[in-house]
Amino acid sequence: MGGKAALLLVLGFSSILLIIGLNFNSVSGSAADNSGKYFELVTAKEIARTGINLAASNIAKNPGWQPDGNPYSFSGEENLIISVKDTGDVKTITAIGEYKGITKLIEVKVRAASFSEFAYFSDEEAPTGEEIWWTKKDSVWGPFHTNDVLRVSKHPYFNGPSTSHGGSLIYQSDAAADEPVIVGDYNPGLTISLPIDGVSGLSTKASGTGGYVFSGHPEVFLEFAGDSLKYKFNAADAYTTVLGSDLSTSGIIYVENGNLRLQGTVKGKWSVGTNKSVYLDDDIVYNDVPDFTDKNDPSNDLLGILSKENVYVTNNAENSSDINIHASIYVENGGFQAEDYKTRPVSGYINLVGGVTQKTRQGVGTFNSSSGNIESGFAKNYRYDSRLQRMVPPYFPSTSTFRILSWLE
Amino acid sequence: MGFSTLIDILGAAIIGGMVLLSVRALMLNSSEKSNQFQNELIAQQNLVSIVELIEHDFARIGYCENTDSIEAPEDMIVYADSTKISFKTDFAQGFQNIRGDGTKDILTYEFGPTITSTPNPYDRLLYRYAKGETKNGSNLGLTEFRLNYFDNLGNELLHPIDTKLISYIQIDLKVEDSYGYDTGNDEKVHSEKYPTIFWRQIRVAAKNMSR
Repeated sequence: MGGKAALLLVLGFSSILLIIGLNFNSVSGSAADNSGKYFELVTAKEIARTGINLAASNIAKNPGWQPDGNPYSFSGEENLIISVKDTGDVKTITAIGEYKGITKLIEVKVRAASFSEFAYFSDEEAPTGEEIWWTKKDSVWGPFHTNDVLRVSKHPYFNGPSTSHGGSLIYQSDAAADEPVIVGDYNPGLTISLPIDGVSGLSTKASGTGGYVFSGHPEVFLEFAGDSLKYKFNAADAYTTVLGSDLSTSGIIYVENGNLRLQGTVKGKWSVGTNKSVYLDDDIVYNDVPDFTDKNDPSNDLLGILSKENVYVTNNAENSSDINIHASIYVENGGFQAEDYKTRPVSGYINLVGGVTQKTRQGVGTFNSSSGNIESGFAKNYRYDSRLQRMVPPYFPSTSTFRILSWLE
Repeated sequence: MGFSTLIDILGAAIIGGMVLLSVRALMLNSSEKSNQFQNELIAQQNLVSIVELIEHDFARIGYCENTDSIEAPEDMIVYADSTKISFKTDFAQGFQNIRGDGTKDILTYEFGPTITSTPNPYDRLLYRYAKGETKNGSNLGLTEFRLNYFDNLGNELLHPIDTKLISYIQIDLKVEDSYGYDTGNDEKVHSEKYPTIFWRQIRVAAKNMSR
């Protein structure tokens, strides 16, 4: 009898302890499941991100790349599907990652980037043997990039949306005294090569259907006059006036082996350039002046100025008191500068709405380092035309990179 | 029945009593631990729910299905302080269709007031609402929701926050069980009564802000 009671007692306790143990196991299992589910979700997301990075890397090397390995394997499982869809100039990259039954989709839209998107781009920040610093007087509004080092002094201001440089960030004294203020995306250590065939590309386009090429003239004077274009080949000559669309339906004009002298009021989209230098003899402005802060401003006027050698603000009477420039400027071997900037009289401001891409940063004036007052040439008043984030002049060299338009996950 | 039998009965009663006391203590401990684990599980589940939602929403800062409508990175966050953030986004059209409708929305996260209807003296509401909508808060036992902001060079931004300079966000969350266990026991400290889970996401960088 006693033996049976003891057995019942042991069985009873065992049952109670078993139930308690099961309860604990259940709670522990739920906790593990809970964190496991989160881990699986994060892993699926990371697999999808891997797919996006894989596709973006391949597209950067080969813009026509299409995924040929679907489904891709991650950790030995076929759990990544990538697709690339072209819709106009926008590519949509989609990656679906799957882990333990959980799927995660990421979709990224990218577009080929043009140098016209930059407010400021330089390959070299100063002519050989010189140093130019960005100081507290300087602010850049719009995308900024240099392949060179970025020398900063006393907190210059870079107002995005992206700021990048290839070389190091150099302070004149130290970070506390010099650190720049950077708004928006910041990418140090990024190099974007300046092409050697950007201007020749314009020549090719101008020679094709709808373009126009001036050749056999050491200088071409071109004045935009709304719907019309005026041109001549000597300063003393009278202008020949034509309807702009009669001269070039594509909006591309090229001067072969001659300097281009430019001024006027631009209506519509144009790209003009030369394998020599461009001289800005007077204001060159848009007919419908946009609100340069509004990316979606409806103005359809846009000008690209391309030069193989240099773009100069001419030293003449018209430019003796300010010059207004509405354009995106590209200089392949030289830079944007004021002619005789060290010796010309004080000439007011360069009021630029657009952007500058140049091989080597050049001067537009000199100033007294103590007072900050201009001693010769121009002071700078550069404003970025926000429309350049979505609009490109008829031909403008590509950066061979892609810009992310949106990231969905 | 002899004396030895009496001794046997007394001995059995004493041993049986000790066994029953042990069983009672075991049951009490088991019950307490079971409740504690359950409460920790609830807190953990609440935390995961919040984290999933926050990660989903913060990953979409600045996103818009209509790419022409996407703001510049510096304009994507419209308000920021240590317990509140408002940013532009484009809400998913549904659980199955995560794409937005192309219309910009403004979403706000805000650490709300203390909840007085639960035993935990520190739990507070977390509001998540779109611009123009009523503030709807949920009580998931959140006792800390702190946002720290950093600029492009890794410097922490000081208040008042200049939203244009935000490059990274650090999120600190603490979730506690709202109801706790043995809350009337003065010998226990707060963390013993209310299981606590802490989560920190260091340097959230929304992809749309890094274009």
